[in-house]
Amino acid sequence: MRFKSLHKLTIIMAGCLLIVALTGKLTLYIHPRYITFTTLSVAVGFMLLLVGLYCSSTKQLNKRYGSLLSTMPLIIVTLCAVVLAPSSLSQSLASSRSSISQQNNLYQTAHSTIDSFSNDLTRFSIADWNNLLASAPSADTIENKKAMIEGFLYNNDDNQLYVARFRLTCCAVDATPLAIPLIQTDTFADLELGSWVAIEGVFKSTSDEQHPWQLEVSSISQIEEPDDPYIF
Amino acid sequence: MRTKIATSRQRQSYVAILLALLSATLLHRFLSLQLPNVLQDTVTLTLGILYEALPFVFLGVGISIAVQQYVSQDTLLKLLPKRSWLRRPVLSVCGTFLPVCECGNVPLARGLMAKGLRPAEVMTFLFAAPTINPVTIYTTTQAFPADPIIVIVRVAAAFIIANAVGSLFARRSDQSILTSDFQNYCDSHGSAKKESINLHQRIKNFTSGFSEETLLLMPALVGGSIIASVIQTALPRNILQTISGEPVIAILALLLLAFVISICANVDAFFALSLSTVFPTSAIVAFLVFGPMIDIKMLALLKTTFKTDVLLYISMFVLIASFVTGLVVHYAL
Repeated sequence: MRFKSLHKLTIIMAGCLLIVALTGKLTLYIHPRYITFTTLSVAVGFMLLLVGLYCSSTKQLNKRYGSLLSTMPLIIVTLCAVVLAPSSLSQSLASSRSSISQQNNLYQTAHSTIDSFSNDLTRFSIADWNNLLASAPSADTIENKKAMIEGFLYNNDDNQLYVARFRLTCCAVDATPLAIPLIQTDTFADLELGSWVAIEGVFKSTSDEQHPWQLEVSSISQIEEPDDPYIF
Repeated sequence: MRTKIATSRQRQSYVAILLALLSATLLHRFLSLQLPNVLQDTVTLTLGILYEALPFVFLGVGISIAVQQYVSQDTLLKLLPKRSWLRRPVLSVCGTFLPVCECGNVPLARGLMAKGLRPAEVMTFLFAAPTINPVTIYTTTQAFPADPIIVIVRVAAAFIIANAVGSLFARRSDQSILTSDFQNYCDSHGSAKKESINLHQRIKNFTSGFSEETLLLMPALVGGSIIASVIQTALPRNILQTISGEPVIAILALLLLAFVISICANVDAFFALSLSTVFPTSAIVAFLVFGPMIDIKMLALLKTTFKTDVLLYISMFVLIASFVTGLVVHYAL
């Protein structure tokens, strides 16, 4: 591939990142703490590459850079960045990362926004409930406590149903689902895995050793995927 | 005539870029095209790694080109100890002043070698800087406030391993370590321009150098991102949990995860924290030591500079050293 073509592809890739940033979708890929730095740094790089294209000599522009095979990944990924809309991670990935997510209490202990478990529990998010469940709560802490949460539905290999949201620490590659196990009933029959739902229910004790506390759903409604589907 | 043709072709290039970006905007806004779940997840993960790494690559390339073009070799060598065995440990702590992700360290390392530093010396910077910098140390402390031993072992191991790698290659010739392409690059870019040049020429040199260096790295970065993403969508992560009970297997499992996940060293401590209730401290430490030095993305970037056998040797050495570090934590601490 010629230097010129590689140059154009790289500029387009950087431009796609800026488009995603300007449309507020960059948090589908990276943690919000990086947004400002990423946008500024890539904007500067984008401008330098544009000027570099102008300043490069004809000889340099026509120089060959690697084989077509070695540059094929860049072609494919740039094409995907242009053609495909930004999207959140799917329930398929949540299923494959399911088991480890059930133990994610220490992160929430360090970074959760809740003050104590005696607060208004209806304000608890999925992260807060996940934190509480992972700490092996006593019955009086959780039994019959009402939860109002939003997330997407998925199940694991054992067909246990969950409502969950992905948590990111750096970028999409480290996304881990924070999930609440649900007592499965006919309520979910019409809902597809991956659907976003708003759920109300109370926690009940079960005989399942892996999930001794599960949410018995009293009300469920399908919702649109929120603009900020992840937890950070 | 030639100038007119060149200008016309450049204009065509800018039009093509503008059309591509306009298409992206319209397609994203009005069509919202997506692939089936697994493929779409692979694309999302790939773009996640790329979008996270790209700003650091630009930053590292920018600093590298600035060093190559505006810092003379004499000045650089004056700032460092004269003896190579002293220069290596000093370079390994230079990440303190340049807290760039490992993606940004690769172009910077290339710039330092183009300036005359030996590969063995720059290797100590390359493998230590992602860990021995204030951001990584701070985030590791924040993630494990009750386990200062994790922070101490992480930093100490990074220093020791990076310098060991540098020592291993100290007596080898540059030709046996570096790719021929990079050697040619060093020969043509090594010396700073001594003649005085005007601002227009400076801008031209800087932007041309920036473009050339970025384009050398982009295919490797994209290739590494794709491989890391494909492995992550194909390999269920919950498999790791089934082997977390046995300490030695747990260490190996997290070494493999560190290699595949290609996460930035500045925040990998928070990710490791999420694994700490399943995996022992020894495995967590091995993850935090190995990941910043060697992963799929990093290897792809390093392949632009170092020979394949050199990379294999370094990877095995760092892998074994990280494994031993994990064992030491398990049995001795």
